[in-house]
Amino acid sequence: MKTLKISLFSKVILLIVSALFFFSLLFPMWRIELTAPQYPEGLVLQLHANKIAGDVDIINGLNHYIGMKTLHTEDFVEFSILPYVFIFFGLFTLAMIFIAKRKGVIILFVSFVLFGILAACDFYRWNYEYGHNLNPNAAIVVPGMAYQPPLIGYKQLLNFGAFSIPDVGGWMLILAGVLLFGILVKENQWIRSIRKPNIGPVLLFLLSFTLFSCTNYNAVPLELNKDNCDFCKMSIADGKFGAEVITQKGRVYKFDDIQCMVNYCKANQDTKMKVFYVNDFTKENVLIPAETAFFLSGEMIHSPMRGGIIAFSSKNELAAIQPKFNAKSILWDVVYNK
Amino acid sequence: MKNIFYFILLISTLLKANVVEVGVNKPIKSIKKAIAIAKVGDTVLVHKGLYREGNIVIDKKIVFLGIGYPILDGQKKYEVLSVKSDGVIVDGFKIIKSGYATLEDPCGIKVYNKNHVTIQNNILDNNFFGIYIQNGRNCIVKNNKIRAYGKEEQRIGNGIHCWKSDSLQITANTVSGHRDGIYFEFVTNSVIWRNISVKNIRYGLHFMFSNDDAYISNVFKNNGAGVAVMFTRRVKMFNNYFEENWGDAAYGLLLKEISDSYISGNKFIKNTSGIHMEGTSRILIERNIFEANGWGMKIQASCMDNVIKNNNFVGNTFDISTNGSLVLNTFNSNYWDKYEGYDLDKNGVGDVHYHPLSLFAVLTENNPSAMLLFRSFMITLLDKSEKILPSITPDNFVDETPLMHSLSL
Repeated sequence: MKTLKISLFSKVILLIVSALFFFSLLFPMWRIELTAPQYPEGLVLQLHANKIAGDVDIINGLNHYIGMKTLHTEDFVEFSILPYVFIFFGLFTLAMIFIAKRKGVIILFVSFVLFGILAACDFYRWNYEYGHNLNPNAAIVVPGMAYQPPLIGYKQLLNFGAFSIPDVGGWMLILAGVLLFGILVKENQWIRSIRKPNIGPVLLFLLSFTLFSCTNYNAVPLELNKDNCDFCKMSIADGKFGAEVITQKGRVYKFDDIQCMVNYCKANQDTKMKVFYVNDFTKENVLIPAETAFFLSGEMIHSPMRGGIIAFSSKNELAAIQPKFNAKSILWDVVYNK
Repeated sequence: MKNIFYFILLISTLLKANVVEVGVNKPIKSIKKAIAIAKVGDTVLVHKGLYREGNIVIDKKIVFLGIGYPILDGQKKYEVLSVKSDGVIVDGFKIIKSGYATLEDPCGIKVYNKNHVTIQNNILDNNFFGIYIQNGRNCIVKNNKIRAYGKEEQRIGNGIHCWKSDSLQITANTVSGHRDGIYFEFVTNSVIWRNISVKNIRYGLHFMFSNDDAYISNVFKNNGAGVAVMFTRRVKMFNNYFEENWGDAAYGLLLKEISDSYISGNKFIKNTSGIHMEGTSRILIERNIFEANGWGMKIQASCMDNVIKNNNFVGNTFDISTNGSLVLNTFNSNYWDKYEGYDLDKNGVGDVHYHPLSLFAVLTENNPSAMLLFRSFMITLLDKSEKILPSITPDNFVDETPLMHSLSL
């Protein structure tokens, strides 16, 4: 292999790669999601380059029951080293733009891959250690049970489903690796010896993972007299006043009264709500998006919990009903901030 | 029936009141016409037969009396009977097929803002709402049989629906197949006595924002959930039966945001939870029987200053469960069949304190799937040790004077 200069195109890509290295420091690298029935929103552990974040306290509390050691950032020497490692890679990449030697890019890529393997081994080691090294006097001891989260992918631990995947920063690093590999492919003309890795689709595929994680926010129909209102505990018996909210994570909460939904959102402000649906008053149990609906509010409207708010999909339908209830017409933001 | 008839005739002759008779072979064949002819204080006497006259409005003070259950048919289009005068008595009709699910909530019988109305001895069958008292005072609803055939997935109104009223007596009615058997909202100083409310889709009795009422000796059985009492003060509940309200989130009695109330002499048998309490305070719960329920009582963390004494807890999977740790309620002098203490001084009171809260009940409250481990050896062991040395469950959750023998209630 001759030490050749690399093309301008590759230099631009290198610039992007170095930016990815630097910016990845601002985002969590890896996440372990835990889902269980009693945590409808799930718990998440986020590993940044320099700290552990997410629901650490709750998870520590849970781990206490099964005798797992509590997690503290300062227990891991890695968190003090990692930021420098990424800064080093970022600077190395920047240097490559000016040095512009193909060999350097190869060294950069190989060292990055080695670092990746090393990091995976280290992560596995910690997982193993925490999952197996349990306090024998714990409240819940399941013989032969270990609580080692998966290195990557999904695993069931007792009643928790643990899901271990790269987070934003991690995807950035992966993208950086892929781009570096792409440069090598381009510069070395490997295309003839190896079947060309079709980078475009691969990139799209990877990006699509981060952008469109497969949550579906379509309305789930209210089942009358089966579903209970998640705020006031009453059975939902009337398909004219109900409402539904779907959270960022795709959890569905149902309500018998639009006011109950508003109250629920007030009471759970740390839950990120994604979409709101309300029953169309003129139809039987049909949910319409709340943001675009038209609302009436008045004393004479007898909704199940006396919120006195009903929703319509069009202004005309609202106008037809309005005189009957002597109610005033309001919009969603007023309803929501009532 | 006959006696009543003669009695009313006697009274009406004394009062110089007339009787206007309606019937197939009487000169007057239309109820509406008879009401138009009748003067204040008269009796409109309707003989057996089928009457389809749309919406019948009673707008003067009369006795509206049916002989042999004449049928008033709303043909699924009209509200059958609208009472728009004080002092009306409606007695002895069979009222069927009111209009359905429109904005106006059509009813079998509806009282509009009037007082001293009596509705008794009627049969209501297949109406959207049965009897509806809107803004009435001193009304009596007595001895009516109210049936509907609501399905889970469709809208249906309530059997006896009372709104913004005062001093009502709801006595000895049977209600089934409606959304809520009996529904009270903004109703004060009223009594619900000796009713049977079964197989209703949502609640046997539903109480909201209704202070100073009592419900006594009623039966609530096989409803979606038994009774829901919400946002209410000073309510008294005596000698009712709450039975067989099974379901995912069902309960015999749901108390939400209730204060200063008295619950005594009731039987909670075979419910998912006998009583489910949220945000209740200053309630005295005594001399009740909790038998064969999944949970005898579920007391959420938001409850305080409640006294639970002299009750029998027998054969429940869990007697008490809570989701909190701060306990501000008292549980003294109950009989717990799970109590294993001894009574050396033979005074009928156990010498060892009893912790009614099982560890496992608390665990499953936070972690329902742990139910898998129920009755496993480890859990039983944990439970036992927890009872002796409470560590996870609140240690002040305690009955200091547990009874050795069940109370005869």
